Amino acid sequence: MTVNNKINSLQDLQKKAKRLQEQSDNADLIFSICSGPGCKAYNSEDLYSAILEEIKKNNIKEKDRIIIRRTGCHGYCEMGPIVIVYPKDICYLKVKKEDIPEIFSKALKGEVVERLLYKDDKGNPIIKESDIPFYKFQKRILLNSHLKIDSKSIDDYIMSGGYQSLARALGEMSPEEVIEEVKKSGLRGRGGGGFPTGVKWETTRNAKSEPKYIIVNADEGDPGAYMDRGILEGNPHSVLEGLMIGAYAIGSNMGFVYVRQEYPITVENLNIAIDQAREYGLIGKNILGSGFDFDIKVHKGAGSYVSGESSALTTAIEGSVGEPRLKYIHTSVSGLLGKPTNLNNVETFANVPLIIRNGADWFRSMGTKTSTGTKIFSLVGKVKNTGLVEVPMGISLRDIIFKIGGGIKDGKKFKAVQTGGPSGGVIPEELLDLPVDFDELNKAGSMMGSGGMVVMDESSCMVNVAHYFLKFLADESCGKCVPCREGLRQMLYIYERIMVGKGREEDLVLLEDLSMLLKEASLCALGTTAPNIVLTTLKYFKEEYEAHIYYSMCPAKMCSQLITYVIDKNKCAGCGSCVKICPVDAIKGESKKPHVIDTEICIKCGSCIEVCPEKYSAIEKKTGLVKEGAGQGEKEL
Amino acid sequence: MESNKRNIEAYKQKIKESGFRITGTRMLILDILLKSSKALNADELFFLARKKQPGIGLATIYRTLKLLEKEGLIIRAGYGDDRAKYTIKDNRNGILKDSTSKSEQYGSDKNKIKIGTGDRLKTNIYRKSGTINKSTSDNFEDIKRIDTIQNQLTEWLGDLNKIKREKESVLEEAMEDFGKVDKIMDRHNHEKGNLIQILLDIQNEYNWLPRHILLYIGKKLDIPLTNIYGITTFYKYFNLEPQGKYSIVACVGTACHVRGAMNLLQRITNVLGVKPGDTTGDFRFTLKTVNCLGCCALGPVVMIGNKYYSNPSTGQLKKILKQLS
Repeated sequence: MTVNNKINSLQDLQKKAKRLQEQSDNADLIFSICSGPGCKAYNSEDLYSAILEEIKKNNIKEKDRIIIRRTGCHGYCEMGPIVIVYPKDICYLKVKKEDIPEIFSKALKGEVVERLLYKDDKGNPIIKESDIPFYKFQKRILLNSHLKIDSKSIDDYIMSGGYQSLARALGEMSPEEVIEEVKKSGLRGRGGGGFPTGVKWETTRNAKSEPKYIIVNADEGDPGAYMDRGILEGNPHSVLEGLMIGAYAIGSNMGFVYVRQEYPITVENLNIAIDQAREYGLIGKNILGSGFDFDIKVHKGAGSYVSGESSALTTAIEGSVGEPRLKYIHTSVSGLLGKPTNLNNVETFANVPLIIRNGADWFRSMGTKTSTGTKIFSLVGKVKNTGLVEVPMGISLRDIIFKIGGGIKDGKKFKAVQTGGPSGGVIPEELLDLPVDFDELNKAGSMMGSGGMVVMDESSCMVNVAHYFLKFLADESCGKCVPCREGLRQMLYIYERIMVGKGREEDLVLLEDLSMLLKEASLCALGTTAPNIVLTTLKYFKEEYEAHIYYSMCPAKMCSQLITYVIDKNKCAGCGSCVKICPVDAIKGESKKPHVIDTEICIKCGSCIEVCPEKYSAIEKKTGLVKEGAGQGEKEL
Repeated sequence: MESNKRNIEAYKQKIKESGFRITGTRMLILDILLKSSKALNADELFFLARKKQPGIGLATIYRTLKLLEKEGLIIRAGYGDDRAKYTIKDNRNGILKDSTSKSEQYGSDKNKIKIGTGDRLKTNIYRKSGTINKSTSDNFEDIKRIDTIQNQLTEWLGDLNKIKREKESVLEEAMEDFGKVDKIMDRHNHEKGNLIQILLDIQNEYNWLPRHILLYIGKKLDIPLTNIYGITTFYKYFNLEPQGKYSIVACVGTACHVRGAMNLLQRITNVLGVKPGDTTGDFRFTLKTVNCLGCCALGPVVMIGNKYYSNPSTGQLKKILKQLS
């Protein structure tokens, strides 16, 4: 390197930010393409190359006239890939490669491609992203920063005021003041536990032993949740800045980021970010001339859910099997290599620079009294608008699902929402007005968790869902303690029994007993929270369990052993599409005449329902068998 | 073949009478046993059944066998290689089709031979099964044909194993040179604490973790092999077997689950003919499941190679896989 890029003070940072801002203001056009995991799956990478091609075609030579940014997740994954064209702030949804030439030529003229805009209920186009209903009801303090930052560029982050909080903390505040500010803001751990961050930092700071370590927990294993990925991939510098402020506060010089290797782009962006920060002198020795040294190491996880637990995570970083240990001594006192270790979630760290920049009172102004600030949820499942949503704490679940999420897909009826990943529980419709914060959700038997929110409609069987989560947890249980290892397995057996219509009357009591045992006796949070899903489904949807046990019925028609596929003779036109798709040749019939499914051969894969043309929709699922003892009974109700 | 069909009808009737449902799996196993000229153990049955119904599990086979035995449709016919073998029980005249079975030795043929040790039992079975089957069977032609098919199958299986062995040895030979491994270890400063990172890099390099490389690492870093195996079996990402050229990753996360990921997985297993976690015989595809790919809006989603596909149909899957070959 010939040029010394090192930044030595807050003034340097501010100067640089101003210069970059001017550069960006001078550009004619800025294309911001969402490169989050959702949009990437829709091939948003092709859009980038398409725009580059257009620049070549139009013979635009000046480099600064057009800027392309590949940003982190915008959140509205349902409508991806998203392209925003500045300075007019035009938001295009579901953009395809073929649309790029049109967008480009019109953008040069300052015009808008109307067919790619968001249309509201009345069909009126909406130009700005922030006016779209999905965004209107959100409070996006973390995710909004993604829109203007290329996730691989430190300059973009510095332009938006990045690393100035770190400079301020190092230059103007003592570690105690930083801790005091974070304590005052009321920030609580976003990973699920909701432990006050400031208090945790203080404990680690006061621990006697040296050196101290600080860890970012980005081992986001919850199925159906990708908030941490969204932040770390879209704006890695915000997490690094938060991490360093935290390190300064607790007095640590070594930090780790534990990230799943299943997120290759996240690892890549993170490594790029660390290299860039090192180049600018923001990581290393004597950061910003303050005398504070800090270094970061990325540790890739190799696919283990339980390793996201704090004590298991530290052993994993040490290079051994990631099993949890008893925590009568907290990791804040004795963690990694037996030294005081502070662990926080990605989102927690991302909030820290904002608190330092805007003050604790600003942060307190959002959310409720006990849960301050905002929280990102990944709203998925049978909801119209899938995506990442950031809302102030205390907003009702109904608002999230119906106002932001746009209600249930395909006009079906809402049944329940599952919060908090595998450790959480389900919340039924009557509790939808519950404010979302750490304490209220716990009262309802569920938990905030890291922020997964899976919406289920009437076609989801609660017994099946509970079985799904238990199976996940039983697979992921490390096997160190008996209650979790054996308890989960026994519960799973009971569920399997119920799902094939062989449940027994006493099973429900047995499930409750086992749940209590797991809650009391398990070693780590995986075991103690595992029964939440069982207990909540039993509490709110007991009738579904009873239908399975007493009537061998699956009301949601999901449990394949309890349903039969039948063709309605009056509706079937004999088109033959189901005959072709059936993997076991169970459907018979002449063409143009109603077909019949041989229930003895049918393996209930459901392929026929999918291919049956909508105008006929002749295939139905039926459930309900009279029980005449285990495994018997063929008569329909 | 005619008589076989008749047989099946009779068995169907029998199952119905006993109050059990006639499922595809049960019929399949009965069918295989009917067609087979000799008694089969659960593993052999599993192998044959998987040809017809790829998603089937060994546990299902055991369960079905237990049930069929309880209902008196099949019987245990001795123990070959320490495994219970099963054969069909003939219902029409109450005698057993395969007279070599243990129960019959003790039953109708009591006065003839008295069998003492297991070894003698075994030899008797082998000696007798060939002759008796052919003479008493009413469809000699069929049995001959099935035998040839079975011979072909064993031959084919042998070939497959040979290919697999060759592939492994080629792979291992290619890696005889530990230069790459050394480089990776250098990158991680030969630290014991970086073992997981080293293994991850090696897996990325070779697609799996060959045993001799693990031994080599253990020696260099002074870590016992048992610890390394502990780690490689604890974390899901590590493979101790060679993987296919392309990996097919089906998401079974919650969001995909409620949108029908199980049906998609069933379709994929039908098309590929392997269970999740397995590799196809030609080492082209490895089917895996993952708990979230982070693109829930597309669910149920499957990642083939580096591309994501949202809920592909059977036809689409076949097309995609064809393009990759």
